[in-house]
Amino acid sequence: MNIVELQQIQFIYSSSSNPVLDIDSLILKKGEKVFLYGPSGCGKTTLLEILSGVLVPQSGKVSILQKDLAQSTAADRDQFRGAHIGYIFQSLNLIPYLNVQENITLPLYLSKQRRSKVAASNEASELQNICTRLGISNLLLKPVSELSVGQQQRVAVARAMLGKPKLILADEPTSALDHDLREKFIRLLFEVCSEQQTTVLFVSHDRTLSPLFDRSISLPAINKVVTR
Amino acid sequence: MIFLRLAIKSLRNRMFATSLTAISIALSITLLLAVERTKRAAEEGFTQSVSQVDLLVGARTGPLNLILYTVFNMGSASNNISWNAYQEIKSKPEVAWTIPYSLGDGHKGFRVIGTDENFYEHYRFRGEEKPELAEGAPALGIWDAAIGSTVAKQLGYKLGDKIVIDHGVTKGVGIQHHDDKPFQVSGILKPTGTALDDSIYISLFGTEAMHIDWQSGAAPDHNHHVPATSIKKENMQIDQITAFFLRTKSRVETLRLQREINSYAKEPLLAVIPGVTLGELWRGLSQIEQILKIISWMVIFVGLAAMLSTLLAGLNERRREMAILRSLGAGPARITLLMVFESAFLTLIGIILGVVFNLCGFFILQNWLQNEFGLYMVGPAFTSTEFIYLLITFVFGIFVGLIPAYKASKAALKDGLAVRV
Repeated sequence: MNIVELQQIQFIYSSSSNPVLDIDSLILKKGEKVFLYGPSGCGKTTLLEILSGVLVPQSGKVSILQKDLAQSTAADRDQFRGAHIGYIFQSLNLIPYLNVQENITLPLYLSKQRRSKVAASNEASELQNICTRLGISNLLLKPVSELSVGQQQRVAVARAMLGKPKLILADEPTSALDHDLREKFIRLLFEVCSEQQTTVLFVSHDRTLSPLFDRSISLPAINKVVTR
Repeated sequence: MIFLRLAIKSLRNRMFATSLTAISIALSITLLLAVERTKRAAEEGFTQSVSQVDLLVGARTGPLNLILYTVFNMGSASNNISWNAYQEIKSKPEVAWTIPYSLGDGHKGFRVIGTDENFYEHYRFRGEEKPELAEGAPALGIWDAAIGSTVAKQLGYKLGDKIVIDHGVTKGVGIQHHDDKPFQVSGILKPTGTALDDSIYISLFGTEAMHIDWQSGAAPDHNHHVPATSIKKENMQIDQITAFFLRTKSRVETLRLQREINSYAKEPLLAVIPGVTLGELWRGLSQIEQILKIISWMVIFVGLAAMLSTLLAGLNERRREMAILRSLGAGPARITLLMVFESAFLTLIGIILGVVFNLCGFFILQNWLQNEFGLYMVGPAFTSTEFIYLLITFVFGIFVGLIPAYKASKAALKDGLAVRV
């Protein structure tokens, strides 16, 4: 089953006349861990925003979990993202005035569908499981400002994974971590994702990470738009 | 509800800036309400300087002049009304009561008013309030004088003190004095916050008795001098007064009676409806009030502008927060709601605080305002006008929230990452 299927997409920001992305095809299979690399400014984040339904390409097909996002309404896409996609930013993933637990469970409150996947009685145990897995179970009631960057990123993973989304989109989540922590972080992410058969699209400009993944794709190679 | 908790926690996280915003709105509201309340109190106090009177009658002059010299102790009468004309009008069947006023003398800058028992019985101001004696008795005897509270305070008079009235002078000190016929303080009136406080009331007989031996406005010489002891009420004839207040038995008679008096054939008389004339006078004076109102609206505007800038500045810090919420499936509508809730909430807090400040402030300062400025907080503390102002502020507060909300909902996830490490 294809989790992600892009066909003939073209994207132009309304403020400029040059297209940013022009991709014939991009397919991710279930459970795949794919590394997408390219230099800064080549459209990596834009691609992730298209995959998560924040942006819609001017033409082409964006099928995520067999749903065509290009044909859906904005509200539909927001709901879909909340229910099925986990998103991890490069840093500062957490809302500063909520504690660790509140940050992790936030998606359950923003999406009914996501919530329904975690039975209310199970919420606590599921939270405990995933946090134990990520080694942050002792931090649950701490304010996020007291966490180290590495701990913050693990909390972000816990939030992305809670409710078992089918697809994780990670936007350079390791760039704020030092070299030793990077590999450790990615391995941990994979372990958790493998248990749940989650597909991961991991974006970075740092090609040294590529051997860790099932498959690597160079964005400039598949993007027909010539970048600077 | 997560949404509310999110909004409140976010506000609490930025406690300092947001409470400053709420307080600045509260202060603007306080100012607006205070101006409105003061204005209303001043207007009510002014237009009801004399109340329950249907007509004010004097010798023909301008309506304002008549009001000024009878109600406000300002200026002087140009002419008098004959006692006969007064009696004729007074005895008309449609007249309920009258209060005669005889002006023209003063005492150390305070006006002396000759009147009768009707003044103590029927005179009203600010609706139902009447002149009351703090101590002593009304000035009904020939040599009695009831003094206003300011007179008593400034001149330090007590009951039984003798006072000498200056002839023909109402401001400053006169040249000629009625020193052969001193009056005695028989009563002291309670403070009223009106011109009553600055007046000395004597009886019509007193006014007449002072001038009994005067001829053509000159003091009597030795041959004509009549000693005070030989003057008796019974053999005294009052022949003129300055003006009088009139109350009809039925309000519908007022206009007809006014016309009748204005076209009185034997003497040139003028009858005015005090409420109407006072209202006109107030509107003439109300420019300051308009300016105050404009200023307080400007203050409100500044308060809301401050809120807008706080929200917009906060938005910059909150871009990441918004990006996170977007990535978790919160749509633009939700983000908008979050922002608008914040501005509406701050405005509401500001409004509530402003109203509380205002009520407490007036409650605390009420006595001081009365004593120092004669500003009586008459009328309700809150009217539909205030409510409309608050509503406008609230609606405007919501609109202010829409501006950052629009910006926030337009921002994509990318904005959350704009700050590259």
